[in-house]
Amino acid sequence: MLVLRRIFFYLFIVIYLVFCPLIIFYALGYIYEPGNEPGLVKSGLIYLSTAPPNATVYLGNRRYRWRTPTVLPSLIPGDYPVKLVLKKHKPWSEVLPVEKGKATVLERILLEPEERKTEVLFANGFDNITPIQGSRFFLVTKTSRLADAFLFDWKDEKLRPIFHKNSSFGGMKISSYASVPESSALLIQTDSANGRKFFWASLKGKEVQIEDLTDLFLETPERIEWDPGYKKYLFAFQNGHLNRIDLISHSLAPQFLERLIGYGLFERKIYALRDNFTFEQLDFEGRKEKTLLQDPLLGKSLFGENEFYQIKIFSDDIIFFLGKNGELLANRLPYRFVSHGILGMEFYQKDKRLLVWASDAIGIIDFSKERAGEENVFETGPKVVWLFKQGEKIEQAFWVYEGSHILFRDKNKVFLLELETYGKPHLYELAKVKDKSSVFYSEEAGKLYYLDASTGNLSYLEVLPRRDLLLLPFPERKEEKKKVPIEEL
Amino acid sequence: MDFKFTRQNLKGREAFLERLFEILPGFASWTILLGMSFISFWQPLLAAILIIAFDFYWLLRLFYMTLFLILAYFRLSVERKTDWMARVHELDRLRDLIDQVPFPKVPGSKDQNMAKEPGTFGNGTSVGTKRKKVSLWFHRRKLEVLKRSRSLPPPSNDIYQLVIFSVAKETQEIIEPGIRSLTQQKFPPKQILVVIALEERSKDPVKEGAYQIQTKYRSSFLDFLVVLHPDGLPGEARVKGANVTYAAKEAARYLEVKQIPFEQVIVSCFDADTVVSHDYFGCLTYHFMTYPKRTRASFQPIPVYHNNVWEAPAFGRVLDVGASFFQLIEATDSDKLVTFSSHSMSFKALVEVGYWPVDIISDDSAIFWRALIHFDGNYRVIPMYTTLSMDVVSGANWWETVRNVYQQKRRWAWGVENFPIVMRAFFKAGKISFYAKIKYAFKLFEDNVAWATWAFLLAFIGWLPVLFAGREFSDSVLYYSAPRITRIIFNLASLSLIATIVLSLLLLPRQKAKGSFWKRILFALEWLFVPVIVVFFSALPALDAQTRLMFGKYMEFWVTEKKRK
Repeated sequence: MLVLRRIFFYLFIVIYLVFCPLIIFYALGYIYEPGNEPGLVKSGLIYLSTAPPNATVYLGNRRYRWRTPTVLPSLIPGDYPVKLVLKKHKPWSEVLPVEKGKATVLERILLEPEERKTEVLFANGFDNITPIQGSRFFLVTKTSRLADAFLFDWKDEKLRPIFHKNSSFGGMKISSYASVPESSALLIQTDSANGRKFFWASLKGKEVQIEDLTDLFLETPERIEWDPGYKKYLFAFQNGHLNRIDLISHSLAPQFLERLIGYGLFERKIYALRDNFTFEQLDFEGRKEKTLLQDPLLGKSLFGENEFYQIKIFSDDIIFFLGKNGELLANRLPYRFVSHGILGMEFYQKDKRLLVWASDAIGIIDFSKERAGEENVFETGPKVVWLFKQGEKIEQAFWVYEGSHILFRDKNKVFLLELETYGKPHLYELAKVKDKSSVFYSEEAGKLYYLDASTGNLSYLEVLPRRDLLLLPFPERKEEKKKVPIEEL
Repeated sequence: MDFKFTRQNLKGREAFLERLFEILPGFASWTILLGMSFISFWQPLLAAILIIAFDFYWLLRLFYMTLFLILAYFRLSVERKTDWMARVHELDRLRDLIDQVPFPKVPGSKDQNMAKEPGTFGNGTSVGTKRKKVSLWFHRRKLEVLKRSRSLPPPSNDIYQLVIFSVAKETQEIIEPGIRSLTQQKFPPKQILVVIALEERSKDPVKEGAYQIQTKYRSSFLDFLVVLHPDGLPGEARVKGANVTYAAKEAARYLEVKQIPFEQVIVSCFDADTVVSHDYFGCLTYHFMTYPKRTRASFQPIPVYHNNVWEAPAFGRVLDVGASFFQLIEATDSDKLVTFSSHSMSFKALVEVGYWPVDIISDDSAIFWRALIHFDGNYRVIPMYTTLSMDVVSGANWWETVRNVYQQKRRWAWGVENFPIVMRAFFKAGKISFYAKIKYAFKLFEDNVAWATWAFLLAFIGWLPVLFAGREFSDSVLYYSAPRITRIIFNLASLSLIATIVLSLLLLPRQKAKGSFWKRILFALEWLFVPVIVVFFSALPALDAQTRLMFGKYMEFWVTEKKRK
């Protein structure tokens, strides 16, 4: 037995010494390429993952034996035409580049169904949708009357009135809403013969809780905001000053902060831009915690042109300033990103990318560290990459499918723009909606809620196939029919 | 070589070396685990490559071990029906024929000239099946070695068995089956001296049980002693080695009085729950007689844990079957075999080396190292392809069983305490060849470090590069190919798992296969939990033991609780 042990011991050593390097080389992408100049070639691969999965993969004209999600390994560097085919879905195709040692990854391909699933939720003729982004609600109205305003909960797909039908306020006209992303509350401003009124609507719970805050508003504010995680205070901005409304004690602190040309709220802090171009961080009691900018020259060069800036903070280190004329600035180089025209923005926290839209264009600014000016000696910072410039009147845009797509409304049409692409982004028209109505998109539900163009019925359209998104990494599915496997090109 | 096999009362250089080598295994294990974690975070590409290299190495090692597990199991099954006492008697006859020229051949060989009855050799050992031919082939080789050595074994009638049972907490119901198994031996029980090494601190029911067994079985044996080991003797720790050493010394005095030479005595040191097969001592006697340097050898059977195998919890069962398999594999490498758990050895050798260490927990392996050093490398362990059975550790409830199993495995892993002592001895052992020192030192070190690290590398750390992958790595071919390669390796490793499952079912005692066919199926399915079991009940206790040694937190002996239902 000892002799046998020695024999096998040395045999296994030899096997290890021979095959281990080969395996490592293969893992790094090296393959042996026979041909005119035979030798080791460093290959690349393509990784494809689709929603729904199980799409058949064609590389050129040849069908690959594995279905999505799958890896196409050992590809000689070059361009490969790839086509994905799935029943009841339109084929998807693109030419993908393969570089040596690198993976060409497309892991969130949304295959367009031949017919998207739509459903009418409420066959009433509605007028408009007002999204409350980041929450489970949105407003649906039939008319501008309070009695015709409803709250829709997309989780349980129930519609309930904001005000009871017999409420004495039912006849009042809604003049505006104020909402804050991820907040389950709404501030409704109404007009009537008796004057203006302000109602605070708490949306959580079985019934909407309404509180009349009219006596706390001395004047009609230009803007109203609050921290979604801290509903004690409302902040109303008017004529360069901020009034603070205490909802618990039902009191008002008028001119709580003065001489402001911009402000924003984030994690129980007020970010205040003063008219002397200093930028401060204060707590909700008005105590200064930090001075973020005290350079009058820089401040003036950045903020001197506009009267007011909306300040949006999405994370600890990135602050955005949106001017009245659509000027977009940030606290990162190059500071000034867009000179005018920006109507809105959405920040995707995970990838640190900002989605911006103007009336005619959709763009992205990438703030992730690995990309921002990494190869330049002089840091330049990220730039806006305009992905779509043929818009007419873009008013809303949303991140879809973990930041891999953008859904936007251009006038009365809704489109889906694919971002993960090596060529021209795919653009799909999803729906036509009622004129001058908004839409609401829920990433969690994977649905677009809208008012039907002709009937005004509240409907939804399935954007993401929900059940197919809960996949573990890299599970591969084999073709059921046996075909000749793909040969390396 | 005269060397004090202890870590007590060391000074100067010896104390320094002792601490250095105590730290080394734990340091190596933690360096590997933390180092790989750090590399996974800092250089995921490099870490992924190292992990692929390790996984492939592990796969080949697994195949290598599985191959020898199968061969060892085959050898065990070959020898299952061997009539060892018949061979012992033939050896007695061979003594008379030792000077014959040519030396009588074993039937089955081409030029046999001894056997009058073709196809037989001795009583009941008929040649016919392939297995028996294999068994006879091994037997023939042993006889040829014996012949060349000219080292006559003593007649079997003059060979005595000294069997010491170490008892601290075990009651009569635990001990008695082992004693009873001695009465059922084919080897004459009247040549067996039984000693119960009983701790003075044992509770009264334990003591009473021991004396009752003595009364009941005394007449079956040469004699039956119950030796009470006083507590707190100077220089002794509360360890099993101290107990059995005290008992062995008492037995030595007994043998001197009876004028039985120590070179004719084989001592077996058993746990309280050890139950031997009916041919154990026949097999032991055979190996003692056929090994020329019989007073320079230990004899290691294959431990199995069948006493309560069907009552024990699944994870304990899987672990202990794994331990049996490990010993089977080790048995194929007799050059590096070390004694483990219940084993036997020449009593003369035991006395010469100074008995078992009285201050070391891992007395079972320490006695081998002590003997190896004392005899300047001229000592080895002879594998015996026969089994002895013990209990699977259990407890009053599930959590207690978890605790007991963990503590037992940690005690087993505490065998790493031998490493520093052995290394210090090797520095001084001029007569042991450099190759032998390297061989043993590497085995001792590598076995322990692998024990503590492999399961963690495979289960957790191997996946860290993917977890920590930054963009640069996640865009590389390696990021996608590494998990695929790992998956292929693990799929191939499952072949080994299948072989292990099959062998575990074959190893189970047939007569104790209670319940239906489905119980065996469930038993087989338990092996699917091996990755989890090995991490928490094998690797973790090993890492725990090494870490304690590294920090000088020496373990007190904890007697493993065994329960029978």
